[in-house]
Amino acid sequence: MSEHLYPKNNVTSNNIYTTKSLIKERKKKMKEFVLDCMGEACPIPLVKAQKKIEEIETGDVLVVQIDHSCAMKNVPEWARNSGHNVEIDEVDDGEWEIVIEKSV
Amino acid sequence: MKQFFEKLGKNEYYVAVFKNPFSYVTGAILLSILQIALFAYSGNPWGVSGTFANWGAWIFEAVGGNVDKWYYFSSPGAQATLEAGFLSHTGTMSNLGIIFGALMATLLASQFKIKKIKSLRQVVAAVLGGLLMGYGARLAYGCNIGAFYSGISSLSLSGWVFALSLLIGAFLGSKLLTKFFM
Repeated sequence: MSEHLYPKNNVTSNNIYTTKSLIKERKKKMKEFVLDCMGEACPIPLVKAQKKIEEIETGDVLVVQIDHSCAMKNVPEWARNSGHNVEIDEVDDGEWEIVIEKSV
Repeated sequence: MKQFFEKLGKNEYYVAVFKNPFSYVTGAILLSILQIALFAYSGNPWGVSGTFANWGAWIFEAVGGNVDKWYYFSSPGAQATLEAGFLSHTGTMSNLGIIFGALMATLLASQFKIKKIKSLRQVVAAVLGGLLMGYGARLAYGCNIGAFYSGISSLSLSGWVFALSLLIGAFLGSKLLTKFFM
C-alpha cells in the first residue's frame, strides 16, 4: 500500500524536493545585511554600500548604519537612482539607518 | 515642554528649514548671495584657509615668536593684517561664523553627536590629509574657496587652473581612499 501511495519513480518526492528548495530560495531572498558605517565620513559609506549591493541577491535587504548627515543624502539618492526601494530611519540624534531593498 | 518639542519636531516648516538638508540648488543660491554680500562688505573675495595661517602667526606671537622675517608674512599688507589683530580680521569672523553656524545648524536639526574614532588609520589619514591640504593651500595661495570658488566667480583664469588641478587631485585621492579604506 505504501508503495502505491509513494511510487518509486519519485514524482511526489520530487515535488517535495521542489517545495523545499522553493522555501529555501525564499528564505535566502529575505536575507538582511547590515553595514556598519558609524564614524565613517563621505564618501566611504556610499562606496561601501555600492560594493555591498553588488554582492547580495535581488530581494535582499541592506541596512546601512550612518552618523554622517551627508551620507544620508548621497546614499539614498544613489540607491533610488539605481532603482532600489529605500527607507530612512532616524534611529537616534544624528544616527540613521538607510534600508535598501535590492530591487534590480 | 516635552509635548511642545514633539509637536515642533513634526511641524512642516521646522522640518523643511531646519531638519532636512537643503537641496544643492538652494545651497548654491545662498552661497552666491552671501559671498557677494561678503565681497561688498569687506572688499575681499571669500576665503577660508588663509585665515588659518594668520591664526597660526597670532598664536606663535602670543607665545613669544616672531614671524616678521617669514617670507609669507613679509608683505606690508600681511604685516598690517597681523598688526590689526584677531578681532578686526574679516576672515577670522567669517571662519568663526562657519564653525558656530555649523554647530547651531546641527543643534537645531537635533542631530548633534560626538562621533567615535573608528581606527588609528582614520586618525592618520585625517591628520595627514589636513596637513597636506593646509600646506598645499598656502603654496597655491588659496584653497577650494579662495582660489577655486572665489577665483572663478571673479572671472579669473587662475580659478579654472585650480579647478583642473583639483579634479586631478580628487581623482588620485579617491583612488587612494578606495585602496586604503575599503
